[in-house]
Amino acid sequence: MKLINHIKQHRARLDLTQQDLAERVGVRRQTILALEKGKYVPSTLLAFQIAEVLGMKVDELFEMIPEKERT
Amino acid sequence: MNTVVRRLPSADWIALGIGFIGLAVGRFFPPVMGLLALAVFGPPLLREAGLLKDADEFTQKVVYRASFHTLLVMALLLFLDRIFSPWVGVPESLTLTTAFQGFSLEFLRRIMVMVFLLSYLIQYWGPAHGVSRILLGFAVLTGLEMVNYTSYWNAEIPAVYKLVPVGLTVAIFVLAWSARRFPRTTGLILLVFLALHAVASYSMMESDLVVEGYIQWSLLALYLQTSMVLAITGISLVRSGNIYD
Repeated sequence: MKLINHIKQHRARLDLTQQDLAERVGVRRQTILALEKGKYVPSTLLAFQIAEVLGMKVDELFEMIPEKERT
Repeated sequence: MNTVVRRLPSADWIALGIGFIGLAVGRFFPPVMGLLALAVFGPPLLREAGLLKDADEFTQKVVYRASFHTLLVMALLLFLDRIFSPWVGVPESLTLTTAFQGFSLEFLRRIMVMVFLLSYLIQYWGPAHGVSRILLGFAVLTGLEMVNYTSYWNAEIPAVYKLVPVGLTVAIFVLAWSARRFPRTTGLILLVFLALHAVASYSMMESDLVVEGYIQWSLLALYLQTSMVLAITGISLVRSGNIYD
C-alpha cells in the first residue's frame, strides 16, 4: 500500500501558493513541495495542521492506495 | 481568507549573514573567522537545547539523516583504516587513527563536511535539483579556480592544453543543466566519469600518496572527495529515474 495526498489540488482550489500554505502551517516551502511530490510522509500533527488550513478532514486529504495503482 | 503573515528572517538566514561577515572580515582579521563557527553550529545547538523553536520536521529529518550518513562514512573509514592498514603494511605512524598525524584530522574534517553536505542537499532538494545545484556549485568553483590559475595560463604549453580546464568547467555546467532534464542519463555519465577518475588517479596515487614517509592527506582527501561527489550524485540520479523532481 502507498500513501498519497491531494494537497496540491486543494491548495490550488483555495488559490494558495506553496509559500502561503507553508507559512500558515508553520513549515518551510520545501516541506510542502516534498509533501506534494510524495517524497515525504508528514507527522500526524502536520497532517492535521494542513487539513485544518485547507478546510478538509485528514482522511479526505490523505489516502492509501495499492502500490501498483496510478493516480 | 487569513492574511498571510510575513515572518522575520529565519535563524538560518541570520546565521548565513554572520557566516559571510566572518569569511569576509576574517581574511584581514583572522579571529573574526570564529563567526563562521557560530554561523554553522549556532542554530543547531540552540535547536537541540530547545532554545530555538523554529523546527520544521522535514528539515529536521533531513539533518538527522545527513548526520547519520556522515557518522556511517566516518566510522567505516576509521574501521577500514584500523583493519586494513596493518594488513597492507602501512606503518602505525601513518594510519588515520594515529594521534600525532595532525593532518589526518583535516582529512577527516573534509570528508565529514563533504558527506554531510551531499546528503543534506540531495535529500532537501531531491536528487535532480539537488545534484544540479551541487554540480553548479562545482562549476562555479572550478571556473573561479581556473581564473586564478595564472601560472597555468602563462606557462609555455600548447594552447590546446590550456583549453582543458575551460572544457572541464563547461562540461560541469552542462551536466548541472542536464541533471534536471535527463537525470538517469546524467547519472550514468557521472558514474562513467567516476570510473575514468579512478583509473586516472590510480597511477598518480601510487607515486604521490606517500612522500618521505608521510601520507599526503590533502591529496587523499581530494581523491576521495572527487570520487564521493561523482559516486553519490551519479547513483542518486540513476536511482531517481528520468522523471525529474
